[in-house]
Amino acid sequence: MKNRIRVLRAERGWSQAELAERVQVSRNSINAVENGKFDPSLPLAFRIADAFELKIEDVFLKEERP
Amino acid sequence: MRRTSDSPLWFAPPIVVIVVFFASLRWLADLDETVTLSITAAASIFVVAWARLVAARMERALDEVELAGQRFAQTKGAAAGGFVTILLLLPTPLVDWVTDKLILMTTSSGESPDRETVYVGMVLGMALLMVMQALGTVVANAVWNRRIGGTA
Repeated sequence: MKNRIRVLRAERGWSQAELAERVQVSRNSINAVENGKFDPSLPLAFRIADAFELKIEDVFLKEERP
Repeated sequence: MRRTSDSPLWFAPPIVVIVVFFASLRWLADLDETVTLSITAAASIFVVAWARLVAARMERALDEVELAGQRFAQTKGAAAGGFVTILLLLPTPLVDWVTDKLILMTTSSGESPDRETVYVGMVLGMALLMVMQALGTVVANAVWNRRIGGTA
């Protein structure tokens, strides 16, 4: 699953650690989600979207199937 | 927030029990069989129960990515550890040497092994399995961190 976390963080000047603190997970976990290494659960995806004050579909994008 | 895993003191009690148990093997062998079995069982139950307690406390501090990593490490590590244990217990010169040492430790002069020798051997085999599974878990955890930690 693709996401815009890196761009959204950059817009707000947040570090991974700062976002991690806002959504109550570790910095490594944010790194894994941001790099698409781990697909978050729906509750965590909502928490990340809430941190950016955006809708979930504005943060996470579905990947087109070939 | 200080996590349970940050405190080495949490790991001290089972290590003390294991060290004392192995240091007193010869003394245990001289005791009544029922007493020996009871002490061995009590030590084993304590170590396993303590490990579960510490694991449960550590899990409470983990988020979902870390929990997924832990599940990966446990399942893959346990399977790999069991496989390695079977390989290590194949009849090799090393296993013959360990068997001779075990007989010497549990009998005073290295005579024919008795029930206690077999029992201690089984306990050591189970300990080996647990150690190998723990090592397997550490390796699997490293694999997970390498997989999850890189950039896309």
